[in-house]
Amino acid sequence: MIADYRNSSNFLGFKGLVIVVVFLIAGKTAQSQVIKDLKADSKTGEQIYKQQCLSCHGAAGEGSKKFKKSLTGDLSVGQLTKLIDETMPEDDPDKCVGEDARKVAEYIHESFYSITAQARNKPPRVELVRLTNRQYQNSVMDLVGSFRAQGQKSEPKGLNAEYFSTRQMNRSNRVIERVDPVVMFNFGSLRPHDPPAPAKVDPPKEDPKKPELSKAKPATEPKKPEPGTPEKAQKPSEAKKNDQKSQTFGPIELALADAPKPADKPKLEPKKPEVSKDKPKDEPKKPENDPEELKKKIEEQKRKQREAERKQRELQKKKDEEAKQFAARWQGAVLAPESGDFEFVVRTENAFRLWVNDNEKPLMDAWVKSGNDKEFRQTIKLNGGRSYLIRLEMFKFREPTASIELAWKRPGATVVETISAGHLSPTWNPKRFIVSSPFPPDDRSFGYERGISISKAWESATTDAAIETASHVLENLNELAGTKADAADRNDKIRQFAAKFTERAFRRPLTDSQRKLHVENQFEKTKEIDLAIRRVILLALKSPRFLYQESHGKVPDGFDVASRLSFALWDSIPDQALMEAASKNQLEKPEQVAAQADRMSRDPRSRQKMREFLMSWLRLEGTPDLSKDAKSFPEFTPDVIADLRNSLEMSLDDFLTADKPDHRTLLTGSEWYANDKIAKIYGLKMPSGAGFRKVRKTDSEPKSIRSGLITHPYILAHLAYTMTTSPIHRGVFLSRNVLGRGIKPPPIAVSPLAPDLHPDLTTRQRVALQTSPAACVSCHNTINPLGFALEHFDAIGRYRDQEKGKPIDSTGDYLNKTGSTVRFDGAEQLGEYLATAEETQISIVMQLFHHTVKQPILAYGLKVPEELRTDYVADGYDVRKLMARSAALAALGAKKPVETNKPSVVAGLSENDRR
Amino acid sequence: MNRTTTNRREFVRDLGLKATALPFLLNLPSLGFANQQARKKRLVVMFSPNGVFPDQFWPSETGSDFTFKESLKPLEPFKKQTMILHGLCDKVRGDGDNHMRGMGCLLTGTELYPGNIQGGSDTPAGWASGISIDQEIKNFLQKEAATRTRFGSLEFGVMVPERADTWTRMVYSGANKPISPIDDPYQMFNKLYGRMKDQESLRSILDDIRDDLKTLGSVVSAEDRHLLEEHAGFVREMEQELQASKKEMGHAVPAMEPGVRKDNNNIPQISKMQIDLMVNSFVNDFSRIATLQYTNSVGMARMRWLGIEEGHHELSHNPDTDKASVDKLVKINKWFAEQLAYMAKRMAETPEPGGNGSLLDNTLIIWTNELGKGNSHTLDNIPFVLVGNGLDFKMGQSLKLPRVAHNRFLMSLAHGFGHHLKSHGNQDFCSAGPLTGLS
Repeated sequence: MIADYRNSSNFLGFKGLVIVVVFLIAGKTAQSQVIKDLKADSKTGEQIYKQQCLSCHGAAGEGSKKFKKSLTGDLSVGQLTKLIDETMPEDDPDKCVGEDARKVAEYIHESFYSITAQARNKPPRVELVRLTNRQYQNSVMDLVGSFRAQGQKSEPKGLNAEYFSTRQMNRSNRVIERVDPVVMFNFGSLRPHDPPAPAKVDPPKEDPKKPELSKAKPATEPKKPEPGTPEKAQKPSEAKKNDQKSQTFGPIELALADAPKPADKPKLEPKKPEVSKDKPKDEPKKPENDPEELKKKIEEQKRKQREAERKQRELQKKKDEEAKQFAARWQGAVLAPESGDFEFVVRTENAFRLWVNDNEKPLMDAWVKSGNDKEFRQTIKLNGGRSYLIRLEMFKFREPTASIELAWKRPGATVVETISAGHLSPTWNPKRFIVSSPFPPDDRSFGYERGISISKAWESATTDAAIETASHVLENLNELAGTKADAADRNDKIRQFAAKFTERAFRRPLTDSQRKLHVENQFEKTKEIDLAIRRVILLALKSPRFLYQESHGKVPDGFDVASRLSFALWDSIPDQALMEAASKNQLEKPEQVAAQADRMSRDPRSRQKMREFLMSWLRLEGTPDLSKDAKSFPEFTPDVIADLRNSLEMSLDDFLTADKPDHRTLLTGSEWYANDKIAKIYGLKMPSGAGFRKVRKTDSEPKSIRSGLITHPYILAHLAYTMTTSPIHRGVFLSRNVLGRGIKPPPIAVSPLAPDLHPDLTTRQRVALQTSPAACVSCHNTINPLGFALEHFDAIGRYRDQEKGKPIDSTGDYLNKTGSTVRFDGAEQLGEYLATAEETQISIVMQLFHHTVKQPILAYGLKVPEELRTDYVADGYDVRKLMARSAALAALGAKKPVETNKPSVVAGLSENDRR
Repeated sequence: MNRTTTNRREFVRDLGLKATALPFLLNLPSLGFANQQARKKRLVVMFSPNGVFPDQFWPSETGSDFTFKESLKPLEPFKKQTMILHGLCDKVRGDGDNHMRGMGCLLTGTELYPGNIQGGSDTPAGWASGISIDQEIKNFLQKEAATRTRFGSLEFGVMVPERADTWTRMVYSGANKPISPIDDPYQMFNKLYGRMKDQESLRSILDDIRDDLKTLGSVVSAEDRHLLEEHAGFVREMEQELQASKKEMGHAVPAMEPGVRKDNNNIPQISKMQIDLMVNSFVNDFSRIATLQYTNSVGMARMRWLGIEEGHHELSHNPDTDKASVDKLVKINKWFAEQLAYMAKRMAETPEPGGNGSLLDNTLIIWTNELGKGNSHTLDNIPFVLVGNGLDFKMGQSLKLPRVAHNRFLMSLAHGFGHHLKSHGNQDFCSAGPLTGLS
């Protein structure tokens, strides 16, 4: 067994361990029973305990009236043995000595005394948890945001663009208004609305598949292209959507669109100067009698003419200058696909300003064009799944040319890429408050984030974040409280705001005493209203009623249901609709809760949570390092890796926005996205310069049969070494994450066999050789066949027929949990099996439940996994519905109290969920 | 590009709100009085715009026996601590009109980059192409633990327009990197004392939080109570730390007059508030470098409180023969001199914490301008009026220099701090080294 399980921490693996231990105990107990029956004088530890100790210590060491202390502690078996030998039973210490003492010590240590025994005996339960970091971030953002106008929703399609014929951005100067899918233009020396240069009058016919953006750039592109920045980021689907609009792109087309507009005409074709009007008027009338007079007149006339000409020249100069100037503005919303630091990059030789999530303070201000900088960068933290207002303005003054590109470097990414239309929408969004105080990471020991532990660092972070929030609220108090600096009722409005803020933070109406403590007292203590508000905010956000998911301690009511739903589906506080439903007692019946869950599961916030699940499920959190050995794979550059990542995310986006996101489509189907760069490496037929579009079986090299996301080159390259594939990494991923098998870590540390030690062996042969020892086989019987089935894809996920001159063997025999053997050859057959296997279904049910609810699924009833699975299958493998069902189920609470300490039952359900 | 806009994140960072640091700035006092032995030296640059009216500004005499002309009369009480430097010229040429270069080159001593800001004449220009002397000295001081302060430098403003361009910025942290002055006293207050306010607020709510944790602990299961008890422990720890930090921090937070809005007519109040905050920040040793910028180059203040309705800039264009305008200009500059005198007075009255003498004995204040004279737009004879003994210059004199490049004076300032730089700004103007005869 190979020791290198880099990214393999997975709760199922952990659970597997626990389960095995539980089995052992169960077995032991059973065994002792048998022994008891056989031989009376050879008593087990349990029997001795029952006879001699139970009367004082209780059946499970819980104590008795006489002796209240529970029998728990951290002594070892040896120490316990000695203690029992010498002191127990208290009335007759000689009664239990030697071997008997040891047996009793072993029994109680294993059954209830030790810390591990206590933990084992605890049934899974819904624990009191604090908000996870993600939940905290979202909650504060939504809490503050609930006092602002809500943003408009829209399909992503680009930004609203306005072009102006002068530097001033006035409505009267506006010459073009449209939606630009991306901001990447090279206007050259022309203005966007100028007529085209003569040479370019006849543009070549466009390839309809090719995104139109390239039109905005002349064939000879003076701009140094940053790796990975071309139009690749645009999804073909969007390209299609924008086909109509594409005709208005670039200087050439713009001019056509603009031609009839009268507003700009005078400027383009300067009228004849006024002097020409005067001339004909004067000349015929001139009398010729007085030479002096005439001379004077002529002088005068000449002077006038010179003056007029000078004026004309000046005017012309000004007009010439103005004729080169223009301004442009793009605005709308930018969707952050994940949380983290986004580096916004603007490339232009002109003046610009960029606002992100703040319409007042620009993120970047280069309105003063100074020096030769042409690339500007600034980083801002954004929370994923939300849209943020964005506004970019530029103007051209005396610079000979104009161009602009709006790009970004996403969190953890190495490549700057043009912000794609899929992340831009032409709608308005309010400013959002983003907590920037760093938090210590959440516990993920069970594979999903849980707020089960607190630390000083966390406590301190909540203080910092509360202070930060209070400062933001104070800076924006009038806006948030809906009042004005000099309003007569300002104080009342602010008090109302304080109460509402606290109420929304607590997710329920305030009791009278809470209102007094949290609001009224704070305003009575000080006359400074700012100080009072500061204290209200700090008090609310430091309160356990905000920081814990459920903390009022009473019988759950509608408000609890609302909170449970919103934290499960959005990782945030309830919205207004949920709170209203709660206050009208409309969250009592299961169908009411289900209807809310269904509504909420269609919200972008829910989609974001599903996305986070998929990223975790595919092991793509963070940005994995995919770099390969440069000699073996020189073509696999950072640009290509970035393109592949985009390609993968397009498939994910398709999945997430599908009407019915069916998990089988992640495991089957040969469609994926590629552009010309990817096509070149993966042997697809695509014209040079082609942007992203779907690859179908027919474009593909004939033998390469991909099967869903699990065979996406990005995933396959991730699960591979730098020179060779790793069937073990691939197999472990498929066993654990897809099939939910409890694969234990390797029993012995082994480093992989170096390929050069066995130059003749294929990867498959080498892996088979290394994992042949008996200690390895039990797990690798499961792992290897799954990984081998993907051997047709090399370390960068490219199709191959042979390795080292030998044909690829991609067959595998997989022994499933029911004990029957499944045989498949290659990715397609593997995918077919995985897509419909019950193992996959239950695995997804459990993983998604934990990701959603962040509590152990069995705490809601031992049969819950199977019930959810049945519904899931009936729903046609719709993961959105599964998520909504999970949330609704958890919101209504544990149906049945969980029975305590029945190891066989617990074990049976976890491991034998197929029964 | 302008990267100096303080966003909220930077603001919070300035407040030191990091999980890694001890909460609430326990390190403040130790930073503040890092070096009690060595003498502290400070520099303040005060700026007012649109030139002066020379006849009513420059003393006729040189040497220690001089009389203040009308514009400088408010400085009479500080005559012994004052030095008036006539003859310093901004010789930097290149892109931009005189108002732009006067501002952008004033403290940087170097050319403006070509750019897109079009002035009233000349070619358009961008930002200055170098660091300003105050930031140069700040960097020098921040390098050493002994002279390092929490902020290093503080940039105050009074009614600076809400636009960033070559006319509104004189402080540069480097080429193309102008720093915006903070002209809102409340914002400056928050920057300086925000944390202390937060600490007070926190102290006031901790009891309630602990009570709440206890109440909840009583209604949840024993297993869950454990988490809440742990939480309460951390809250208690925070309370103890807050108590400790309260003891350590003795400095009074200055009281602020509430509700003074950014408005032309409030300039006198804002000016006073900013000066008070500056003096207080020196007492707390938050910074040893400060600038105070009144409006901007081409500033348009209407000094109605002096009975002047016209904007400062338009007045400054009027010819010398326009007696009424000249009177007003003299009044305006006298008002600025009053602000300087108030600053000097506050510093003179404030004993140097942990040192000898007053703040003024350890501070050099420089009052300067982007132009020599308003209606001629000359960059010759830029006003440089010095008050205070911070750099041990020979004060109490009026000097007339023979058209000396102001770069050399800027170098003298750095040398006064022990930062012996060989040039500042355009090297062509620095070859003669720092000004001699100042000390």
